[in-house]
Amino acid sequence: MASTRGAWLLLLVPALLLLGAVLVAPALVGLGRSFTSTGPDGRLMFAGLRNYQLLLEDRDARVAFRNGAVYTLLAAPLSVAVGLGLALAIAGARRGRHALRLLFLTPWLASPLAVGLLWRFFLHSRVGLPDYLLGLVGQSVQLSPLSNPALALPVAALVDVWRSSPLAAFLLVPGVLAVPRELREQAALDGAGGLRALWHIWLPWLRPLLGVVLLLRVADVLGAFDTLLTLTHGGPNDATTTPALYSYSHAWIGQDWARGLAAAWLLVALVLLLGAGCLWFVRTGTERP
Amino acid sequence: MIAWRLAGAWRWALLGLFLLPLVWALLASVDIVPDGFRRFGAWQLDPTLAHYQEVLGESVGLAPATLTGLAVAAAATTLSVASGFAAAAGLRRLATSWSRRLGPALLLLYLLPVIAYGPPLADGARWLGLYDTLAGLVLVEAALTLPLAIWLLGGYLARLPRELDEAAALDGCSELAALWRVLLPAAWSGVAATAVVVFVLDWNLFEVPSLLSLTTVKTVPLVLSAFLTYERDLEWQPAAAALLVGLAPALLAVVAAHRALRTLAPLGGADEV
Repeated sequence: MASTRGAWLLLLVPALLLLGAVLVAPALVGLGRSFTSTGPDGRLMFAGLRNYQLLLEDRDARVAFRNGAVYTLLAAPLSVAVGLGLALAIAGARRGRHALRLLFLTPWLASPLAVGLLWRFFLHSRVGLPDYLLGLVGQSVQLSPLSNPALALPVAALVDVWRSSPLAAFLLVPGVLAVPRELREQAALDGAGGLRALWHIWLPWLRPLLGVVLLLRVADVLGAFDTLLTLTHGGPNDATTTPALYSYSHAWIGQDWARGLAAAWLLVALVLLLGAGCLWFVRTGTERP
Repeated sequence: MIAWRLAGAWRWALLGLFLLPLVWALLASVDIVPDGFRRFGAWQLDPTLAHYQEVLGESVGLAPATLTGLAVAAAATTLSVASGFAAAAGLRRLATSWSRRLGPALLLLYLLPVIAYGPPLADGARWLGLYDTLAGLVLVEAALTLPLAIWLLGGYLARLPRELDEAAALDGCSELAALWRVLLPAAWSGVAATAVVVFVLDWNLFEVPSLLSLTTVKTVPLVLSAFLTYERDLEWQPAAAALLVGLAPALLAVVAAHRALRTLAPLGGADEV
């Protein structure tokens, strides 16, 4: 028996080696580096929480974390909500349900970078669709909402909702279909009480699945980088600079590794905190009505 | 009959509306764009494939990047799914309290923002001589999607009946043979579905490849990021062609594996959509 156990343990080795070398070890080094600074002689010195303190005193960093919070609070819940709506629409189809589920996934299949590029032009004042439609009704040329400091961040969040709500829908459809048929039909009949059906049927039944999808979304949105890089490049000014963009520009462009990593690990702390919140949401909802 | 059809048609209309930005890009990529002067919404109607030629040609370099990207994503997917399947099977059989928690715990690794480990990872790759090499990128991409692969495959394996393992043991199969001859065929659709998801994620990775490669290894998102540069700022048509070229392999992978994707249901739910 012991040898059998050993054989099954051996199966874990390739995966653990890969994860250890590529993710765990660099992550631990990164965490360690965030507590160091480079001395005048170019040697690493232990600096305690100094990098984190500098970070909190830095106006740019505070703006980045504020932007990250707004972006996350808009994009994460909204993408799950829109995803749930799409999932209910897809699951309710009598024919072509599978085709709909896959076709709705298309925006997520494009790279996040390409999505940023796409929407940057789609909303652009000379080549975009909204501007074209405004031109049809006689409006003059409008600037892209992405160049408006007040609108850029919410619009960027909506672009993320467009990109990732299809994934949420894709993951939620099997969960919706697992709800007993009578309950689903009752929810569909409850036309007037759609909100009630949501509250009494869909949310209780889908709670564990919704929690995990929300967890994936929160982590993805908090680390948002690719889409914003091509969509706005953090601008106008710093209206859409998220912690990930801030960290990137300090670590890679400014060569200030310690500060970039401190920002990154502050972000990790937020991911873990919100992730634990999502898992708690799953835990408390496991007993079904 | 017609009313019944119409009742379901709104879903397809919604789909069309949802995919409108991509349709807009498709039109622009063949040079169908609103006329610059916008007199009564006039259009420039002179379709051409010139923009595809341009981005695939040497100046932009999307063709070699597509080949590189396909090779890297395919190799990384194979490595990720193979080691992920072994690990998921091992965790299933161990079935101890810690092995049941390891799957979700590994998912936390997947959620780490790249910048938290990116700089030391690039240093390590340089130190090992894997910086800006195909092998280095394959290993790293395989590891990045591995937690997700283990989680998805674990979901499939959990649905298989326990009797399957007992039957394999009675037949005198060794662990490895059981894995290969019993579990793999039984979970085949799960392996295919997981592979597609992992392939799409690997194919679209940008941040990590941009940290790990300089000139030799260029994948499609790295080429796309070149459209950021100021001179190209208003060249919507080639950008549209390039981003659609980048979307095509992911779309083809999903279409090719559409049967297997029917069964993808993490955390349970209906067995088929």
